[in-house]
Amino acid sequence: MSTATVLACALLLDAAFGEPRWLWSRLPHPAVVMGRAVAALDRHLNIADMRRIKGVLATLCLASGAVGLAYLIGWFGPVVETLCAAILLAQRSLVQHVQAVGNALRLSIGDGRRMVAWIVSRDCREMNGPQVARAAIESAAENLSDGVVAPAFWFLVAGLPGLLLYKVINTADSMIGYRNEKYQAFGWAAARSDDVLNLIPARLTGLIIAALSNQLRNWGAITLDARAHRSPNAGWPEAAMARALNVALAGPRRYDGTLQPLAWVNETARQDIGPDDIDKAVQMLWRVWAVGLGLVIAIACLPLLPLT
Amino acid sequence: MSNTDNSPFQKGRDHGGGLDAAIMRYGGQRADWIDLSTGINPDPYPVTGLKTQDWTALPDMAAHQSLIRAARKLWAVPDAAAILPAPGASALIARLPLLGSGGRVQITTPTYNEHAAAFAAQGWEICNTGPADARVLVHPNNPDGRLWQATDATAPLTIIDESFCDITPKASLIAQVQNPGCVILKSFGKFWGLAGLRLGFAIAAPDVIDRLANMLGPWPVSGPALRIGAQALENAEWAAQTRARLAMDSMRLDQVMQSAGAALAGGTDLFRLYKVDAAAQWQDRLARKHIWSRIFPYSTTYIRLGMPPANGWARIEAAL
Repeated sequence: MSTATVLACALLLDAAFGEPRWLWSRLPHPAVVMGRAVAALDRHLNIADMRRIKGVLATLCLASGAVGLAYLIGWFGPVVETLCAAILLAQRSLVQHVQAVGNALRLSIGDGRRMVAWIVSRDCREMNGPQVARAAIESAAENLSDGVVAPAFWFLVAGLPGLLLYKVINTADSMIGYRNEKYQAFGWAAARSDDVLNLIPARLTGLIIAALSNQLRNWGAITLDARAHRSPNAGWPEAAMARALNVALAGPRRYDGTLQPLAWVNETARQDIGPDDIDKAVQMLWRVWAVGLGLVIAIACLPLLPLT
Repeated sequence: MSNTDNSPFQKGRDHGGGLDAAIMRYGGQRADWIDLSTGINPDPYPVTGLKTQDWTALPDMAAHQSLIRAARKLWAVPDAAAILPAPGASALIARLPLLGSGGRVQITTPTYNEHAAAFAAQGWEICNTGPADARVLVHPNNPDGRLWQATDATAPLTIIDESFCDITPKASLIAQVQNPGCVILKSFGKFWGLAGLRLGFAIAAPDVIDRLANMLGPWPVSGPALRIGAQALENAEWAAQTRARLAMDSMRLDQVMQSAGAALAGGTDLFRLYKVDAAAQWQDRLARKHIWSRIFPYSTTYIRLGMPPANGWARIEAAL
């Protein structure tokens, strides 16, 4: 079974089943296992001095561990490989989380605030309706890239090793890739690696969103917004999503008790948004997934074309 | 959404009830509505014995100690652990994330949403599985009544929210408080039915309690709450009778709901969780008869009902 075929099956499996609780309350999820490895390295190495070098070593250790494990799993054949890929893709769970915020916002502002707190790590307790919706849509765009397009991309390019490498670096970045006193040095390698690995997938996600919503003519504006974004990669899917839905995203927000003056993405678009816009973002999540699936199937079928 | 944002009532706190919004939509006066959207005992502990000084003077040490003694006895708190009375479990929930230094918190869904909001407010990342720097166990869980084990207390900072545990006191994980980094929350308003009194407790190691106490500041609990709380916690007979009555009521509610086509999905004797075909429709049906219920953003089939007051059964049966 070719990589593309395995990926197509994995995409379908993940979309159908997501992350079933009956399974993951019994077994440790691979992301959990990766997290434990990162935590262990952090505990033992993120001390004393030469932390940046130790961080580089830790990241190399994680990367080689991931690649080695991938080869090991690969021995068990395409079925196991498909399952592994399905487990590490996150389309369904992303859709469920984002949709839940839209549903919550329809129930009450309090429900909306509490539901969005599950997917963003900041103070949601005084957000108004549009702010809740913005947070949900931004999270949808970013996680579409991190959780679906990027893993699929790296699997296609480098098989299970590529996928596991991406996931371990992404996990490490989310745990230690911060610019604070504790992680600035130790997490540097993980953070930069994550930036590199997301370069293509983030732009690819943005491209697909823009193509689907007839916004390719605005690609210049999308680029400008993405370059101004606080993250080197997340701005691409976010800017594209903002134009697809005709909404303004990002903008000033509360971080650590202060109002940070973040730049608006797609500033001139609608700011008074709500659950309907979240619904449209969810639809876009599925449409991008479908295009991705289509491309993967097309690649899988290439060998079947008659040679001239 | 935006037209209700400016109302002072909405600012910062819009909780489980949403009864005000329901009244605006379906009409009627608050007094004729039956609010089943919470898990508060509809038959509260009788409020008696208040003295003028409870209202006029800053609460003194004796009142404070008397409440703590009663709590220690009722909940069999190990001697080495300390107790902090607070103005509601919610005042504690908001501050517990400050006990850690950020990172990941494991909160298993579905559960009471306020914990996630409190952690997110301090920049923590919320996840469904471990490993994590903190973990929240709502025990018994809201809305499904799930009970946890001592072995689930896996994180360096483990918060066990036993707000509804007075229904099944034997299930309490109070012994866990002997592990460093474990905090147990208790809520007075649920079982004793006096949610307006604003009284809750944190039980943990003395140094943790000291930190929480500093966050709350001096005299966090009102004189009347200290007085009524102490009386109520000492009254074992009332508690036993209440448990018996709530057990009967929950069986009766199950019968009523099941004969209307709902399936029992979980709960405790203070609230029951049902699975129906369309929860929003059931809520609407009940709301037209001025009975408010709780449905959830993450499910189109779950509906949760609290226990009705004694005079509410006829109306509920009629509505279904």
